[in-house]
Amino acid sequence: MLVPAFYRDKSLKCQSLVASMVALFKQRGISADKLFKGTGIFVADLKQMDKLLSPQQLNQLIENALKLWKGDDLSFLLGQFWLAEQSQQLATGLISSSDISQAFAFWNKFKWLTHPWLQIHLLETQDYWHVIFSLDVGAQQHQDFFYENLFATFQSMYKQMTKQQLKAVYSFPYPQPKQLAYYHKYFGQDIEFSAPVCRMSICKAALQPVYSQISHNTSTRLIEHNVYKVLKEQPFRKGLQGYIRKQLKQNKVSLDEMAEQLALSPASLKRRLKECQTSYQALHDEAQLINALMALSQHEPNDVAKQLDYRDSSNFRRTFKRWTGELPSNYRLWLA
Amino acid sequence: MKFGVNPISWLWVAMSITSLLLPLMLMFQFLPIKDSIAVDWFDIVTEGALFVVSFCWLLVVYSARPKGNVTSLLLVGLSFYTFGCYLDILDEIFIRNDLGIALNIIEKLPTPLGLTILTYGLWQWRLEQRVINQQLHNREQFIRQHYLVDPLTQLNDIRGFEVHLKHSLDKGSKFGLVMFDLDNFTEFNQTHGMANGDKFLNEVSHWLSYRARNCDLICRYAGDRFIAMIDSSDDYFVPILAQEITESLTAQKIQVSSSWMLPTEIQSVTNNQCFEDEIMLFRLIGVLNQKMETIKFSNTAVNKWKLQC
Repeated sequence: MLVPAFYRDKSLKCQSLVASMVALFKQRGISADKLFKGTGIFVADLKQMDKLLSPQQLNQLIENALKLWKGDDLSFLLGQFWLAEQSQQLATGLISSSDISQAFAFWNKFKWLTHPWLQIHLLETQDYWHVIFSLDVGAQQHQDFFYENLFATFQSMYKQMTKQQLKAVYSFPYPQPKQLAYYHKYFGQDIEFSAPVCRMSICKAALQPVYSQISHNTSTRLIEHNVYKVLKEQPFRKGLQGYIRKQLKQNKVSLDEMAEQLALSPASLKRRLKECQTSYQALHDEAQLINALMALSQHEPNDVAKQLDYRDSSNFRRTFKRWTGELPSNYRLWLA
Repeated sequence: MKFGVNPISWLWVAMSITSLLLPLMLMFQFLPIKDSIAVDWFDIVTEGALFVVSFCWLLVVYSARPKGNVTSLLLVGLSFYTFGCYLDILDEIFIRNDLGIALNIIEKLPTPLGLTILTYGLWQWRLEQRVINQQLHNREQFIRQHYLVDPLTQLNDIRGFEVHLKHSLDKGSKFGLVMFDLDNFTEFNQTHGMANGDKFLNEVSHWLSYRARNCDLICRYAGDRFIAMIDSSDDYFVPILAQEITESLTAQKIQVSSSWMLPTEIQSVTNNQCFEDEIMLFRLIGVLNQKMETIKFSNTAVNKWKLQC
């Protein structure tokens, strides 16, 4: 079993993000040295393709970048240039997909190589694809940056593949930001803030056919095989938060049991989580909330309470209200 | 080497050092120094503060204003005033009872002279400002807040636009709104690089403010989307102007889509008194965005790579 990456483990392959960031900043007259100040990344590292960053370095880098950048559009711009910075294999794999869901599946399989800070929970209903996102490796410290960047990437990819705008419903787990105009410009009008989790819902009927740019004859199997080889070479494939959240989504694990699994003492597990600016309880709540929201799309609140092992439905209602500030019934058709 | 917008003038540096040292040396040579009991330290501190502050003003004006008559007047006035403050400090340290009237006048002259020149300079600055206001009119209309200006295009950003929009709504003036969105700008950015993309956006913002009338206001909404407030109560006029601007941009090989709200449409939204200001702004801009999205959605398939590379 692969161990999850702790906050200071060199674990993340994000040269593409760093490289496009450096290029953007250079273009606006800010040197890479300023951008890297205090991160422990050096300009010489940029040339080494296999250099890994620790979550701590990544977060420090984002913090520097947001401080130095004039304007509110950094994450959106980075999203636009995302594809150009990816390796040949990955880019071809994406673009040569025969439809959008195939491209998404391909990206999802290898997202540790491109978006290691993401954790994805998928729910397919009759008419919609619902994707719930949560953040790994301490990225929730700059959650707006990461979510903006992600959806800008999606938009730009979708447009490149279909020559159309992506129409989707978005919810963001934070209050309305000051750069609201950018959200409307890039993501459209169906946007909700202060939601319990971050989600994107796409109507299946609205998905456009792929406007083929290259022939579909490229051997997708070969590409997958090659990218998979790169993925297998990585020393880590999940962050601590993502690992714990996944376990907690599947079954009830106490802090002590989790610590034992990870060969840590409970106190040091707590410390490790604190480094990522989170706690075991927060992760537990998040996992439960995602389970509850997904279950609510198919069942009545009372059944959901039973499904999730609550003693009674009023107990579930109370807990749900603590998480979201609202009753479960209000979220009955949120992911319909 | 530069200091702000101007190169450092070594002549000016030399002159300032001389004018600080020369009176000091002369006084040392010819005047007795006060006993430390007779020195009023409080006076020295207050006059010293005045000197430091006025010297800072001098530096600020020098670093911020491009060369010209007004700048020269302001600088000369401030220099004299600063020099006067300096002489006042020296005055506290040296005894100068036995100087003649003529020398006393010379010692007192710099401050009033400096203030007079400064005042004249400020008057000239006012006239100059009028010209600049005229030049910037379709970029800022009635309010100037530098933090509301978008750093890339130098247009007001959306927050600046909202301030103007609210002002116009409060005043009850009639206006139309137009939104411009570049077609395929992302592709342009991807093929030509970010540097050219920035340049291109800048060019577009110049064209927009050049083509719009002086009474209209052009702002950058977000990314490659711009928004304009058209000062008109005429429903026919707004689409015509929008069309004209779009066409003039097309002539420059810049493809844009535009959506608009007519003065009467705006009126019908704002007549609804139960909305708060913020919701009203949100609704107005929301409608524009919605229209733009519909236009864009039907456009993109047709306008494949319309942008001339």
